[in-house]
Amino acid sequence: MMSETKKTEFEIEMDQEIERRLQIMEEPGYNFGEKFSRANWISAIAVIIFSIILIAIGAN
Amino acid sequence: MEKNMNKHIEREAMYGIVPMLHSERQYGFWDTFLVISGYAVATWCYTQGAYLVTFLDFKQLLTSSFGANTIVIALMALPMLFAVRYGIDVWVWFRAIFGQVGIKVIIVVIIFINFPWYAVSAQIFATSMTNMISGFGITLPAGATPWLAVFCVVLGTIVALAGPGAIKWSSRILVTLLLIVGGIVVYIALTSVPMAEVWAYKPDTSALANPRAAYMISVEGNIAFALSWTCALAVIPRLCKKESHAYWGTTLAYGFVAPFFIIAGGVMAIVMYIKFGVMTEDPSIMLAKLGGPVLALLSLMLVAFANIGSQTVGTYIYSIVLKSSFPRVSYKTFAILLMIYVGGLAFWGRVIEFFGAFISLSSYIYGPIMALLFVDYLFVRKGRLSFRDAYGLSGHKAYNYHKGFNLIGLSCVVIGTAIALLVYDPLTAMVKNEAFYYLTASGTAFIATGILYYAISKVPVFNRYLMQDRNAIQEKN
Repeated sequence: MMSETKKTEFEIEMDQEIERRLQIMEEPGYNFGEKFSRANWISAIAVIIFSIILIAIGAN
Repeated sequence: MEKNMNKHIEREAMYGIVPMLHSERQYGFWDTFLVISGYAVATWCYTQGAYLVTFLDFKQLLTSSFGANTIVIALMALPMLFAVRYGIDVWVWFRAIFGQVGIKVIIVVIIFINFPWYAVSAQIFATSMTNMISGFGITLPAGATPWLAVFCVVLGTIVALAGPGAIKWSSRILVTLLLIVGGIVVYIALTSVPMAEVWAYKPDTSALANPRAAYMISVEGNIAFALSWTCALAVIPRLCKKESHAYWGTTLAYGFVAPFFIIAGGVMAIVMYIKFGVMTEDPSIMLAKLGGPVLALLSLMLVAFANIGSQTVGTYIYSIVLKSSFPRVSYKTFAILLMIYVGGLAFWGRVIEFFGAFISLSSYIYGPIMALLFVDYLFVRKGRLSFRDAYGLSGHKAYNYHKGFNLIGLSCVVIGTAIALLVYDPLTAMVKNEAFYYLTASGTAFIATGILYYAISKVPVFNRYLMQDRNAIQEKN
C-alpha cells in the first residue's frame, strides 16, 4: 500500500470539493445530459470506415 | 499580488480536475469547434505539411492528411464521451490504468515528448525574425538565430508567468493571428501557381525502398500528429452539455480543420518548389517571396507574435496539468522548468531537421497509451470507474495497485513501444516488418497493445488485480 503523506491545504480543499461534487452527481435525478445516440455511434463508425478507405485510396 | 496569482492558479488547477457539474457547463457544438480549431491551427501545421510533401504528391497529401488525422481523432474521441458525461478529464481515468503514481510518470513522459513541438514553433519564430531583419538590409551575425529562438521561449514564459489574465488575452490574440495567417497562407498558396501544376508535382522518393514506404511514412507522420492532440482531447469537451456536440466539435476541429492547414502548408511548400526550386516549412519565407513587401512585413510580424503566443499557451496549459498531478510544486517552478527544457531544444535548433524521427518516436509512446485507454474504457471497465478511488480520496485505494503503479498497464506501454520499434526505425527510415506497409508502426503498436491488454484482463489472476474497483462500484449501485 502507498503510504499516506500529510496533505497540503490545497490538496485538502481539492478533496473536499471533489467529494461535494460527487455527492451532487449521486443524487437521484441528476441530469447527466443527452447521451450519444445510436445515430451518432453509426455516424462515428461510418467516419472511421471512410477514413480507412481514404488512406487506402492514396496507397494505390 | 503573487500570493493572489498563486491562489488563482491553484483554483485553475483545481477546476481543471474536479468533476464539472452539468449545470456549470456552457459549451455547445460551435464553441467546442471554434475553440479547438483555434488551438489546433498553429504554425507547426505548416511544418507538418512541408515535411509530408517530401514523400507525397498532392492527391496523397489529401488522402493521408484527412484519412489518418480523422481516423485517430474519431476513434480516440469515443473514450472522451466519459469526460463529457461526468465532467471529468480522461486523465482521471488513466489513474485506473497506470496507478496513482504511475500516472504521474506518464504525464511527465507525455509532456517530455510533446514539448519539442514548441521548439519547432520557436525555431520558426527565429527564422521569421531573421528574414524580417534581413529585409531591412541588416545581416545578423552567425549564431544569432538560436538565441532568437530562445528569446521566443523566454518571452512566452514571461507572459505565462504573468498569470491567467495575460494568458486569456494572449490566447485571444493568438487565435486571431493564427487564423489570419492561415487565411493568407491558404489564399496565396492556392493562387500563386495554376492548380494543375500542384496536381502534377511528384516528390523524389528514390532514397526509399519503394513508393509505398514513402506513403506509409507520411501516414505514420499524420497518425503521430493527431495522437499529439490526444492528451488534451477532453479539456474542452468536458465543458460541453451534450456528448454529440463534444464528439463532433472535436472530431471536425482536429480531424478536418487541422489537416486542412497541414495541406495548406504542403501546397505552400510545393508552390515554393515550383517557383523557386526550394521547399520551406516557414510561412514567413513564402509570404515574403510571394506576397509582396507590405504583406510580407505584416505576415512576418503575425507569424512572430503567433509563435510567442503558442509558447505562452503551451507553458500555461502544461504547467497546470503538472500542478494538478504534483500539487506541492509551484506553477512558477513548472513554467521555468518547461522554459529550460524547450529553450535548450530551441537553442540546439535541430528539432525540425529530425522532425520525422521525433514525431514517429512520440507516436510510439502515444499509440500504446491511447490503445490502453480505448480498450480499458470500452472493453475492460466498460465505461464504469470508481470516482473516489480515481481521485484517491481518503480510504479509497483501489487504484494504488503496487506502490502506486499498475504494473500491467505500464508493462503494456513498454511492450507496445518495443513492437513499434521492431516494425519501423524512424532514425534510419528502415522498414523492419511488412506490417508497416499496411498498419504503420504506431498503428501496429496500437492494435497489438490493445489486444495484449484485453487478453491479460481475461486471465483471472490479472483480472482481479486490474478490477479492484468493482466492489466500490457495486456498493454505489
